Amino acid sequence: MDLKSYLTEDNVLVCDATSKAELLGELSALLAGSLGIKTDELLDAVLRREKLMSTGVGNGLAVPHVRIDGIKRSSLAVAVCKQGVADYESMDKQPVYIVVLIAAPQGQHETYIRLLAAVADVLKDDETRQFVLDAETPAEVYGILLESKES
Amino acid sequence: MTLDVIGQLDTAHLPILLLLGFALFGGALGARFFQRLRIPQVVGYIAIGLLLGESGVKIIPLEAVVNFRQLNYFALGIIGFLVGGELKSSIFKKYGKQFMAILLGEGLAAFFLVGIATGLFVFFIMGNFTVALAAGIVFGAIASATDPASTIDVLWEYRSRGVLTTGLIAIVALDDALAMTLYGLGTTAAGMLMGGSESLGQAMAKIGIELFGAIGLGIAAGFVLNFILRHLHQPDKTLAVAIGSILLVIATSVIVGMDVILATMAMGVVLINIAPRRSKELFEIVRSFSSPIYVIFFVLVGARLGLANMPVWMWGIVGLYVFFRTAGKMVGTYVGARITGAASSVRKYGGMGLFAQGGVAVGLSIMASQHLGSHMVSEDLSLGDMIIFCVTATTLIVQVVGPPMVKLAIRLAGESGMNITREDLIQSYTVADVMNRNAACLAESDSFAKIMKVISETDSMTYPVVDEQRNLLGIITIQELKGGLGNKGLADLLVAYDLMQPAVDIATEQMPLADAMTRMQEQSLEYLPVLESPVDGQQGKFAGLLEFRHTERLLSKEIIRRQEAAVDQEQAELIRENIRKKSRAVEKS
Repeated sequence: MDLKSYLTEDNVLVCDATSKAELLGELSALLAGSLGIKTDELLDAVLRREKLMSTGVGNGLAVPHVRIDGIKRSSLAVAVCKQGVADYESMDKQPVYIVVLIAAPQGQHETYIRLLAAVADVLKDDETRQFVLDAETPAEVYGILLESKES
Repeated sequence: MTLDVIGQLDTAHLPILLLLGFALFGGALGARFFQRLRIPQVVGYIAIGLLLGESGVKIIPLEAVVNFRQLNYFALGIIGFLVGGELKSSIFKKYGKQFMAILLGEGLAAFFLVGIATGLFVFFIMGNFTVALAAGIVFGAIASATDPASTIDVLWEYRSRGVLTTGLIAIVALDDALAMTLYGLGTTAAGMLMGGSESLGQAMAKIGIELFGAIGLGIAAGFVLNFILRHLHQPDKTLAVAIGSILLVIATSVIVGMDVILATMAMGVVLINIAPRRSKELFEIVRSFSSPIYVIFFVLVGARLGLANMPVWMWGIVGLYVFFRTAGKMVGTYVGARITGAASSVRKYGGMGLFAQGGVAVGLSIMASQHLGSHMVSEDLSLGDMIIFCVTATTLIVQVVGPPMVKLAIRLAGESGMNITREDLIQSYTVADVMNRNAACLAESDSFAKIMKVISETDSMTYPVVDEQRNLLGIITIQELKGGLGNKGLADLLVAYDLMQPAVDIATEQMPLADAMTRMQEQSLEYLPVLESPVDGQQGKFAGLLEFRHTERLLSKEIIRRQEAAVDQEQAELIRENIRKKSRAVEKS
């Protein structure tokens, strides 16, 4: 699956957030804006899902994901937090640095799962994660993510 | 007021289609009403006939009934054909001797008891021995007949199956032939006694043609129809071909003066025995086609019965006829069954199942009136009219009493509901009866690993996701899990909440199973989540899962269980019979 169809450079964020709430708020606002829905709506769905089980999968990576009514296409937003978010309740209890938010419409179950799998595939690679962390601008992060898929 | 208006209608010339409409519609309504009262539907048809006909508002006048005689032949012919389809040679091999003994027992006992009683009564009233003897013979012969149509209708309505059911079908099918023989011999004898011209030899020859000719015609037609069906590979033409050949056999029988029922019955017997599998489907098609014809037939039976203008003393004959016929059927059946060691259910309840009389009795009485119409029993009453009046009244009585007695007999013998089909069974269930209440459920926070564990420990294809109050949140099917397999990183990301989908459709516990199954079939669903009944307009809690394949398995199992129960019963009777035989042999030695 090609991430290019779901991620634009505008939806990549390099930020200084240090708390989970702040981070998810910023990321939700960014993605909600590009999807044309209210930020609160997306943020509520994301937080509800986080309550069930944290999406911090370890190795500094988190992949919050929701299915949501009222959007037509699946979409991604990426945040790189240079200082790390310590309160993400990650599986390895370590701070989270790279966060990929996925939103998919209800009824596109297959696309949703495949998108999740694609993101997990790209970022399971230690080197790719390091490149992302070392990047200075959203454009660089965007380039690395797409490139890594192509390689 | 309404009756006045109806009285002013020129009912004798209502269009035939309108009459048929009245008969079908009214008959169906009457049947529904009587079914509610737990009385067999055929009584409802006849009651509506009474209401619409001679004894009621006369919407269906006698004239119209006469015009419909052709349709009566059609109905009787189809009944004969379907009855033939029930008579596999294995049944004859197994029970032939018993059935013949019971048939002769009940037929002859009814003949002699009714004949002697009514003969004596007429003699006391008239003081004329020959008229009395003639009347006795005719009444006795008619009394031996049993109506196969209404009897079998009850057996089918209540999905009866077992040794008593088989016995009743065989006996009612065959005792028309016995009644015709007794009637033919009887009327000839009576005619001779009263100065008629036909000799006994001529009469025997006529009966021979009527009966054996009918059987021969039916057998030939059966082989021809089988040949055609074997080479006709168009299922949509099967019904037309079958009905066409049945009609040809009926018409030939009527023209030549042969027994219609016997002819089509022979045809049915041939088909079921030479091509059981092919003809089974054929009988189903013909049976489903026959329902409106039955309704019209029975409504007309009721419409024909005129109860006005009967001299009071004739009710004495009616009373004696009904009483002694009943006694004759019961005693005769008991004796016949006893002698041949038939199953106890046949011995005890067989007679009860043989009370109904209908078209054949009325038909024989009309024939008798033609044969004996010229003999007067009093100044303004011929022997023929007397017979028609009495048989009309007795037919009404036994036709109303008969079917409920058939129902009682099969119920007492435990054979009611044993011949159930998948459709019948589905109709009798609600979703709650067959759903899986122990379906494995998931919580929305269950991890992928937990889900996999649950799946590996259960054999379902579908897993409902519920909250702590058991409200249904969604459904996870194995199909949709595929995407998550084999990707370690992904598995860590997923909980049940991510994987569940909204249920496409839901059922409630009290929903008829038929509805739920139809919905699953229409939407190609393998499952339906079942919710409890809604409370105060709020969606009910999750109650269980209705699984298509699981339900099909349950239905098949239940059908097999019931069929085996019926077979077990038959076998148990055979074993008992053998024990009886052996113990008798031991006693003798």
